[in-house]
Amino acid sequence: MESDSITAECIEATEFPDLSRQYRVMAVPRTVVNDQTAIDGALPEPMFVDRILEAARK
Amino acid sequence: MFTVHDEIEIKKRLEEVQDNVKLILFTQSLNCETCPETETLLRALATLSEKLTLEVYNLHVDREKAEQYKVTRVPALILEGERDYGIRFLGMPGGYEFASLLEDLIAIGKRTSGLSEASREKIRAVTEPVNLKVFVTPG
Repeated sequence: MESDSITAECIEATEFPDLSRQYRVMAVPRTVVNDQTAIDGALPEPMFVDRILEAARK
Repeated sequence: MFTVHDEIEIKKRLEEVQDNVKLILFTQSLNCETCPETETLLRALATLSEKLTLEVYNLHVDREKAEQYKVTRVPALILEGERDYGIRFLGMPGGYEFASLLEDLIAIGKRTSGLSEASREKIRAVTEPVNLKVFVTPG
């Protein structure tokens, strides 16, 4: 909501096994940034935002 | 679909929704086990607040709409407030995912993300496209 350039998809892993395989999802939640960097687990908001933006800059 | 108790709870929470929220669901008739259940769930949910509307499209029949929203997998749910924010739910939003869906509906309905000012500042500085895929399970 805060940015026009950010999109977010919540994906139910068991229904899309091909996607889960593609992104090597073993435990949830797993957040994949730009199909490239995985962040595992539920992080506190400030940390989550930082990790996402860091990954986005790669 | 919901128990009477659930309905009361959800209705109460949805009272926080001040502005209209559009739920746009894409399904297909064959090869989609969770499509019927998802549609039933969302139809039931949409009746619990006047501010919620649900539009249901078929991935193949409504091809232009699917292209507009860049939908290729179903069931796919888009939540729109004053615009498409790029928020998608793929799969049946059950269990914990339903709680997230409700949170999102309320945030959009209040037209506020609920993030801290510090987070908002950092996010607003982002100019390049960022796609987040969050994998969850209903359990």
